[in-house]
Amino acid sequence: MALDAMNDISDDALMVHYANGDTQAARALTYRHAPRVLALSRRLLQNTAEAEDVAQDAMLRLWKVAPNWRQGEAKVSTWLYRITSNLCIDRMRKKKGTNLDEIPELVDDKPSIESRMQSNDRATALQAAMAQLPARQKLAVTLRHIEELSNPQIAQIMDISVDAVESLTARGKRTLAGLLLGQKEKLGLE
Amino acid sequence: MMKKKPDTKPDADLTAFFDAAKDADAQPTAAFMEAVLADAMNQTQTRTQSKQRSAPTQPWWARLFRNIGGWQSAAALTASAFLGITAGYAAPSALDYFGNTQTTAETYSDDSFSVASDIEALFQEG
Repeated sequence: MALDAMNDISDDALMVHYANGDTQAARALTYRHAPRVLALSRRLLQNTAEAEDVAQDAMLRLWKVAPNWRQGEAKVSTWLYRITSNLCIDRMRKKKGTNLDEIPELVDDKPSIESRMQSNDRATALQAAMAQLPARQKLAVTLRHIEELSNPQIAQIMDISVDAVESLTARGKRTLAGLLLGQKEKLGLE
Repeated sequence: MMKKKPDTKPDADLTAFFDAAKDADAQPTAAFMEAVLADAMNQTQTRTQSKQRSAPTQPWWARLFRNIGGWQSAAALTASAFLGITAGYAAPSALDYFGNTQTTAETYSDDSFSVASDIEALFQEG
């Protein structure tokens, strides 16, 4: 089946196709989920090589679980976010105490115009501030405000209550505000 | 005295930072996507191989046995073959199928064919 023809097929059905040896289903799942998994791990780990490693590992676990995938029980995206979050938190805890100077600047390969530069500076500032947050606060804030997931979805991914999600994001944002709002003028926000 | 918390509205104030982070999303490299796909293919291959290993191939006689219909068919076939071979090797006299029976010549007497002369007589009469 052509890749375009798989756009309307649900993740659950693609999992069944892949488990039966359909390589196009694997391709469709990869294009649908791998970029989001990579983006999340990149935000949490702030290191592209490590993020790719984690994202590849999360996708590999998806391939392994495919034959036993229970349709309708969990969404593939939620399952992947959960695996990725856990893998990232493990790594973040192992290398706790990252020096802020080690955080790479975000590279923007588009033509350099002032607004793009400012946006890039803000993203870098946010990244540096996020590195100060405890792992779970960082994850909750990332899922809520960058990945734009709902609180119940985040609760499912993190295996906590919705109240706990709200508490984590509120505390995380308070810390971020304390770290970032002083730089607003420098970053062209006033 | 209780320390007053700074009056911040994090949601509104941080929006620009979150938006910038969303914009900064880099596309995955082709190499990364290929690596993920290669893992998928390897997993498929590994599954196929382990399935083949867990179902060992049967010897030819076992497949033949299954194809002819199992032990019932095999028993019937063996019995028929045994009877056929026995009949082939045994002396015909011992079987006595043809004893005390008439030959063709005995069965049909000359009278049976006398109708031909009657037809000839009819032709002569016109």
